[in-house]
Amino acid sequence: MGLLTYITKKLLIGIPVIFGVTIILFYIMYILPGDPIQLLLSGERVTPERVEELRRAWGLDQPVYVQYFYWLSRIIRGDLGISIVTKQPVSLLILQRLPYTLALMLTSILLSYVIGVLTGIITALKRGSLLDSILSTSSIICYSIPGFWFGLILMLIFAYYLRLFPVSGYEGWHSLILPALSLALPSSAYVMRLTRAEMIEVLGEDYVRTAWAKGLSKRRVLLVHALRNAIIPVVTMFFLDLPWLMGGAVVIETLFALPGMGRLLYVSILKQDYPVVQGIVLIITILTVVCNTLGDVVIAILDPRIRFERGRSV
Amino acid sequence: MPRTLLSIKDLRVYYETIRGYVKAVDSVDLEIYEGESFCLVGETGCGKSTLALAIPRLLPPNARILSGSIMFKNIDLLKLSDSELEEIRGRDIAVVFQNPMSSLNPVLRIGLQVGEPLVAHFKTPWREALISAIKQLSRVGIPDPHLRSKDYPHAFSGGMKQRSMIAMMTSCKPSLLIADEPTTALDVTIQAQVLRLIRELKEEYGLTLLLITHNFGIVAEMCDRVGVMYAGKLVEVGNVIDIFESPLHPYTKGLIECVIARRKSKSRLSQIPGAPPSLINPPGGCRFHPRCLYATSRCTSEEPGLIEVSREHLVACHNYVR
Amino acid sequence: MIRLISERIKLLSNNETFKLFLTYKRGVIGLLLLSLMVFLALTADFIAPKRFDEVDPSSRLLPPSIKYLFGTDHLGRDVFSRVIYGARIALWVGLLVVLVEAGIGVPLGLLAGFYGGKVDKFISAITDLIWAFPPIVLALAIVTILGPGLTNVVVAVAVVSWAPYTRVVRAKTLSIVSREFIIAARAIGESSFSIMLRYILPNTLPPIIVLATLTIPSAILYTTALSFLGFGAQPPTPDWGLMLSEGRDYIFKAPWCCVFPGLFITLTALSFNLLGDALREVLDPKLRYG
Repeated sequence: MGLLTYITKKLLIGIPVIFGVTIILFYIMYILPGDPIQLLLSGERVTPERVEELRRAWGLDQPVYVQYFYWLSRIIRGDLGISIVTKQPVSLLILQRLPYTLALMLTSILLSYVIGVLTGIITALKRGSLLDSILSTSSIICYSIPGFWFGLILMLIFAYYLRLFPVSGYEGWHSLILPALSLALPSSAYVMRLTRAEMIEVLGEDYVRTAWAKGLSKRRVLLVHALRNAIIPVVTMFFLDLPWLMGGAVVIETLFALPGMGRLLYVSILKQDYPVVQGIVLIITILTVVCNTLGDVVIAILDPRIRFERGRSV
Repeated sequence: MPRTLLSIKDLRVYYETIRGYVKAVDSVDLEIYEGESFCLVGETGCGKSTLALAIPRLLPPNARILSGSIMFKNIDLLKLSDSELEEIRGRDIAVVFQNPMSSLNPVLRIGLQVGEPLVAHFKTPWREALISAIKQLSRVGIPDPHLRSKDYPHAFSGGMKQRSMIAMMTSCKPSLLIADEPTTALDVTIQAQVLRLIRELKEEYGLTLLLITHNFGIVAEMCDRVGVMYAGKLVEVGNVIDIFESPLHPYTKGLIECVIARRKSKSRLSQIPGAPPSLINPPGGCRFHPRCLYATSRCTSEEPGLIEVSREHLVACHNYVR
Repeated sequence: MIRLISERIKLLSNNETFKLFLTYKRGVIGLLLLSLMVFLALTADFIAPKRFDEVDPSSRLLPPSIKYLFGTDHLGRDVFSRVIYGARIALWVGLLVVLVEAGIGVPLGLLAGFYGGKVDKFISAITDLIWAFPPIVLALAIVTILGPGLTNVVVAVAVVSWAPYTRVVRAKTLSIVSREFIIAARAIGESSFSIMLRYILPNTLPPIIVLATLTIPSAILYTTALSFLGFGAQPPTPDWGLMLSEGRDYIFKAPWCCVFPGLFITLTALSFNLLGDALREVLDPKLRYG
């Protein structure tokens, strides 16, 4: 099937998935402990009739599926509700924070993959050498280090002792460096291992030997023939890493007090500000599905075999 | 007197393995003349592929070339640097490999892969190279070459893949074409077509052909001269008629008899008793002696060298049979 | 089943493979490190100079010394002792998580591989779905519903990461299910359940064991992260993640409160990773000669 057909298929699957997840999401929020009305009023003393009035106004007396449809129609219009704590629209809160989280994610994934792929290629080419041993062992150490502890250490050394970066808060691009490094560390180690393993395997393949036999330059064989094949699983991993980074961002943003969506999620959970939590989880879900779909599409572009082999477990 | 294109002297290629050194090619001397078709025959594992691939130095990473020289147009190939080898490979010396299914890059279009050597060696602009590639594909018998050149390898059948390989490798009109069992992985019906194609191209481009095979039928069809290998050694060399009609080495005799017996009758095949020896610890003296009907005590201790028995017919045997 | 396992262990000690394993420096180091952690966990009561909850307001935030090898924290507790007791928690939690993960993932994988078709598609779809979602967010969501505490964290982390087990077991099951002895067992009339238990499961054990060693580190890392955020272990539990969170406020004045617990998280995770890595290479012949 053609590339366009394949892409369209993947996109079409994504939509029901998003719907499916919104249902699950809504249901989870529905069964969460805590009466939303009580939380909304947060301790104000109010007559039972008033509570009933509010309940009806909010549609909370309706059956679950009706509530779901109300909620869904609001979501589609961009209305994610009101924060219980700050009384501001959730969508506004999220929009304010999203850019910081995206900036952090972008910086760390770039760092992670650039370092990871480069070291992976180098160690694959210099396999068995001292450099290979050192880097390989370092990579195992790197993905054993907890990101948040690494962040603390970085903070201690570079922000406090050396005063090179701000300790916390957002003061410009350089505030993202330490957090991005913390997020990128374990990821880059995995990327290095994968790249190395794939490169080694590809370099032993017959078609690479054919490329050598044609007398192509070393650079061309390594880049156009070897890497072009080896990089495919790495690209897959790239798109699967993005959602993971969203999760990691929660911890790191909290650690470095960055005004991002992750920290908002954490704070909102603590304060039981459920509309905000719900809104953020919804956004994260949509982003996850988008990343996965995008990943599938990119792989289909890179690897022509995928489009032709339907129903085959790769 | 034909000119020598390739002259191999005292070539030793060993593979490093956990269990020791596999002596795949153990001191081989061989001359290949310009314009001929030379077949290197032998059982699986006798070292013929290793010998062939040693020429463009396309051996696996655990191979070690311990000694010898390979003279090609007055250059010792074994002494070349990587960049010098790059120039020769694909342009003067080309290789067609055994397994077409895995020898093409799955993520690049056929047209691109066929056109690459031209761009690499002659700096042809890509547009021209692709047009040339289409012409090449047409020459090797790919139908609808313009359309097909945009395909990826998985859309091609085994035969078509191998033809594309041939197109790819002959695009620069090399002097020497090494074909390592080019038809072994193909269907029988396709085999004949591919072999014919190779023959045609050889005539058309004036190539010298070094063909590796274990199939004597192919030898008879394709070759002017034959070299027989056993356990890492060259045991007999001669022109194809001499080898078939009067094989001198007991091993060659056995092989020819197998072929004839198989062709003639349906009764039992005359077999060569025993099995090929380990190449890590080959037998002393003549390597064939454990399986040889004519072995004498001299054969167990003294290794026979290649002797020229008659014009162009050499054999390595103490008791060669007339 | 138990007899099978003990037989295998006996074979292992005399085994070539085991001797080969010993040549993997990294694996041996991992094993030694792990033994150290296990030792600390088991003998904490005897080795630790103080109890983990022994508060001493007069000795707050003291730097490392002979008396307090890793210094004291903001409540005057001996960091060294707390770190040692923490080993117990970390290993125990890691083990629990893996058991629950396997408990969910392995049966699912068996079912998916054995029955194939729609069952397989369904299970694989759910597995992929949960695996794709950011694990920390999902774990947070679960912990929010269940409430804080180590037990709930164990459940949350396990639910988020059982996918590798399902995948590995499914793959192995698929490769075995068409073999003759399965067909023969069916012919005799053995029930599907019995076939899965007696024939397929034992064959999936080696990859499961390797997978377990490799997933314990991430289990430890996730659980400590959740404790760091305050949703896991509660004070005064000497959980390393919790210690990091408590020490965070004093990181500049008393960095040792954070440095040592985190260091031990790293060492523990590292030991499993080194061990698992070597195990995988030893047990997979393809990798060995590569």
